[in-house]
Amino acid sequence: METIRTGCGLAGTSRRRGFTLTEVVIASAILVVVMLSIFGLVQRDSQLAQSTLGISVAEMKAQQMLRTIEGELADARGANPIAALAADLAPDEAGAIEVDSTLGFPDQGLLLLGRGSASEERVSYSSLGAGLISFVGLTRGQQCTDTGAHPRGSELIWAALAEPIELQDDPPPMLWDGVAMEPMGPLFFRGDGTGFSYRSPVDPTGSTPPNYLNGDDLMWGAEIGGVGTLDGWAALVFERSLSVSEAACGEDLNNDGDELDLFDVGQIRRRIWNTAEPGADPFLLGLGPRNIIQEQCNWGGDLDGDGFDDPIFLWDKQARRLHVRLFVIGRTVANIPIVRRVESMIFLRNVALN
Amino acid sequence: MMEVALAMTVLMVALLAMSSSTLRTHNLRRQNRERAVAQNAIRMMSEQVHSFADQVLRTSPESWSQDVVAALTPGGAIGDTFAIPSLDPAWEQETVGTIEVVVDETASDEDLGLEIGMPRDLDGDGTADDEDVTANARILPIIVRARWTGISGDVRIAHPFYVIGY
Repeated sequence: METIRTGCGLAGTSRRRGFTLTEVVIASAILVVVMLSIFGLVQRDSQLAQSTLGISVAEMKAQQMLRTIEGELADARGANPIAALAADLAPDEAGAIEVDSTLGFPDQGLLLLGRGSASEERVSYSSLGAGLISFVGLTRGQQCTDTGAHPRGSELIWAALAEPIELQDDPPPMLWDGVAMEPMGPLFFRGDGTGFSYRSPVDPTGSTPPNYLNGDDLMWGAEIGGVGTLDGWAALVFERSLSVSEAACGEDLNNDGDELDLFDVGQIRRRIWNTAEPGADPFLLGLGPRNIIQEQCNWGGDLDGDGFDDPIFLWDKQARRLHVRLFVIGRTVANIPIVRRVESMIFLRNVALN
Repeated sequence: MMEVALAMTVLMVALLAMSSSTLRTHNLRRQNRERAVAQNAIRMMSEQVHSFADQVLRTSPESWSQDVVAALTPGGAIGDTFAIPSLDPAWEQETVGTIEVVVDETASDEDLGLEIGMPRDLDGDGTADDEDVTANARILPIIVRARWTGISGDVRIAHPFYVIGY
């Protein structure tokens, strides 16, 4: 205690003291609680921002990809590449497959032989042969299939194209590869649905404004190096970049109730090639980020656990309808992958090629 | 103690403002997503209708308008409603998506609530006074709508277009 003296000789007293230990402890406790709350708030905000940003960026890019695909196909006409073997194919043949025509097949890709039979096989080829009658640079037994013999005359399709089969009323399993849920109900289809082959109106003269007509008919092809080429073809194709395992990331990405599946993650690319120059380098363009997923050895399979298959491209030639389904993989907080579905349907106004 | 308390208060206010801003951004992202999902669904349905109308034109041109209108009525091949996964229907609505075919030439844009160029001659008879052109329309206005209860309340979008039967 101290005594304060005033000028007129009167004296007053005032009590000033420090904090007691109890007060300090209580104040510190309050401070710690407040600081922890602040920390929690900041952390939650940060997590929320990161997770929503990661997912929305992936979705936004998928949307942009859809719009790009719609623009690309606005005037296009689709093709259904189908061929027949022109000679027997032995199980060890790795040089070439001779067929009646390779028109509409991309410059490289995956073929499906013996579909629905015990000898079903997927064969990749690295280029088209001269004269549009062969596929060369073969790798047999792709996509978890075994090599086998295939007789002359048997059908061969571009594995990437998914198209509805004719018999939709309770078809036998050998006729179809999957069932997709379409706006008008389930649809049985064959193929993987990872690609779509097409041609667009072109003006080979490069006139301004462009003239796509030859008499009353449109001229079809693809732009190669900025020039409309009548021998040009184009395709949108899923191309694998890397693999993702459910076990490694601890997530059931396709909602099938297990964490055992493997997935290919890749990109939709546009390939343009010149059928008059087989073996020449194609013109490639990535149409979006590498975040499209497909189940390994089951491309076009169910990716959302709804019991229906999910081909990226499902082309209904009769209705001229291309259903595009993109399953994009993004990452949330703590690097947890999340899959989102973005889809659209494109009605191709021009008559299909075959 | 007073100074510390004041500093903490200022800090708290700033952090709460930041948190509110983050939540608002999150909500905006959800709104954008809802809208993108609805727009994709509307676009899909519109393309489906275009495709159907084109198929009918190729297979039975003489009954084109009747077949298209029939397909877009309840129980028809396409129906007059459709669901949009991940969106909840608005109050008193059974589905998020609806499809309307305009068969009344005299309906105005004001009646329809959209700018689609009505009233208009739909059956090619030179006048726009028929109240039901189901039997012989050559063009048909279609309105695909989506209405849902979203994060920001009742949201509606509409896409009007024409299908052409010649």
